[in-house]
Amino acid sequence: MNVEAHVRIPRPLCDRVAADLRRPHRVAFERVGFVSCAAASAGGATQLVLACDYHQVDDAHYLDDPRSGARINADAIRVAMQTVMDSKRGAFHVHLHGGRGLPSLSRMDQEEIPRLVNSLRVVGPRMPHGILLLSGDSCAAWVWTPGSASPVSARVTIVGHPMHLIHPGVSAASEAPDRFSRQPFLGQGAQSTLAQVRIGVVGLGGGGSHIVQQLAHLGVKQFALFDADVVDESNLNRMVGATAADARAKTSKTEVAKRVISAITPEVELATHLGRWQEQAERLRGCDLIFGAVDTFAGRRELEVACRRHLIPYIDIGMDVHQVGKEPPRMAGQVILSMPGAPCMFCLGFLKEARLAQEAAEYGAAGPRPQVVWSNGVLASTAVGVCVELLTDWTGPRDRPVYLSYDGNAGTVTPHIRLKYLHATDCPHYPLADVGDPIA
Amino acid sequence: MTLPDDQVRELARLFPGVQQANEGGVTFFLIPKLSLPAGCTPERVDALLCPTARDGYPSRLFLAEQVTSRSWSTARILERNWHMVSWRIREGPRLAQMVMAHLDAFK
Repeated sequence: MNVEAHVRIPRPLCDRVAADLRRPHRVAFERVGFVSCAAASAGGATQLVLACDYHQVDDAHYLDDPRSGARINADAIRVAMQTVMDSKRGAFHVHLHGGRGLPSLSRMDQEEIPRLVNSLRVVGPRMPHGILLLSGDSCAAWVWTPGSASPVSARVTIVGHPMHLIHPGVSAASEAPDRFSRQPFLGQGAQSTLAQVRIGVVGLGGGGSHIVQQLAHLGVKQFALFDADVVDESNLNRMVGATAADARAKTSKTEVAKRVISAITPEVELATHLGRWQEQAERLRGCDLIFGAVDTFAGRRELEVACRRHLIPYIDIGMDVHQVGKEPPRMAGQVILSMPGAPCMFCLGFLKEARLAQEAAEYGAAGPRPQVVWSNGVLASTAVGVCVELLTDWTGPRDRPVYLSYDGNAGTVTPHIRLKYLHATDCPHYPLADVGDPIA
Repeated sequence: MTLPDDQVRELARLFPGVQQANEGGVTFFLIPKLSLPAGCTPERVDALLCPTARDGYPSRLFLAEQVTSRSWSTARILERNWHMVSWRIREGPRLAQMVMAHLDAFK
């Protein structure tokens, strides 16, 4: 079986590495360092490599060698080996080449770095190790998976705003010229990115059914869909693609979503799971981005945990209708982007122990929640917009968390007021140190 | 939350192989092959102790398998699927006492 590897690097960590590697050195022409990486399986033969820390090489550990850009001494290698042993993480030798585009290793890199990687493999045989090579705007990776004799060239995703998906050997998809002629403003390469991204959608009812339909229209071609439910009469007020015949036949929601997507784009790669995503968690890990359109706060917590642990951006949508006394019903909802390393749904005040406790106390007694097609559509469309922005960067730099508040009575979507009082830019609940398999 | 070292050591002594892990800012203890009260099937099962408040309970014990005909719900924690019953113990016992108090649910 051919092993595939997928390296994910949080953008702040990638920027930190690049900034360190750009520092001048007294004798070396360039710098090197080591990136610590956790491992996880994404099902099949796909090895996930999750970058979680950076270790610079001490200034004193460079050798003065005019034939080489950067030559490090035995102490530097010993420190890297010790870090592997102490952290129980894989280590990736990292350096920087000038220019733009996908970088490639020099002949000297090809001769010398694999020997160093072999030393790391000796002290950490159960972890992936390898080489990361940065350029001005891209990154290449070679991964030695445990037990393998030679490295594989890996997919790399720089996780942050914007997302950067790097697939070595995959050329831009050719499309029918008219298919996307109305969305060139998304930028050069946007259509290729949309074709290459693998998107997971959990929950395919009122919200999720809108999301998959819109993603298919946009040109997304790789889906992983999860829902345990079948269509019934009560879904027909809002679920895109569901018909009265589906309700009679108890067609699965995954099947309806598949039908909707395939009708728009026949040539999609589509994996469906009729069941809880927790039964196919490895499949979820293989996604580049995940939408959650689930009913419960506990369900949102579980999805965010899984996404944080595997460095996957998570976009949550939800709505509810409340009525107090004789006042008219109030319809409210939210769209949240939970970006690994950035404030989470607990930091944003959306998830709270008290709210989870109340939900647990009402378990089984809450009854069906109010849901209607137009508010599902507004929230789903907003979430898809957040996703496209993240993948294409068409609106330019953005440095604030996304927490949008929907007021269904006023018909507005605005940044949530809590963002005004959010000062932290990182997350104490999900530190990068916790990525990957939790129990060694 | 920092848990007292003496209690962690005591837990490790009484439940060999116990491992500590964090998720979402919460510390959990994985107890491999925990012996269940007499009459339970299976007799031993992996368990996960959450010693702090979760979902309105002061502490919780999750099991890797359902063991009796009680009403169960599920949770995914530390990349595993767990089963739990609605069982509330008092606040304040030591970690090892917590495990034993939660096991009373299956007597």
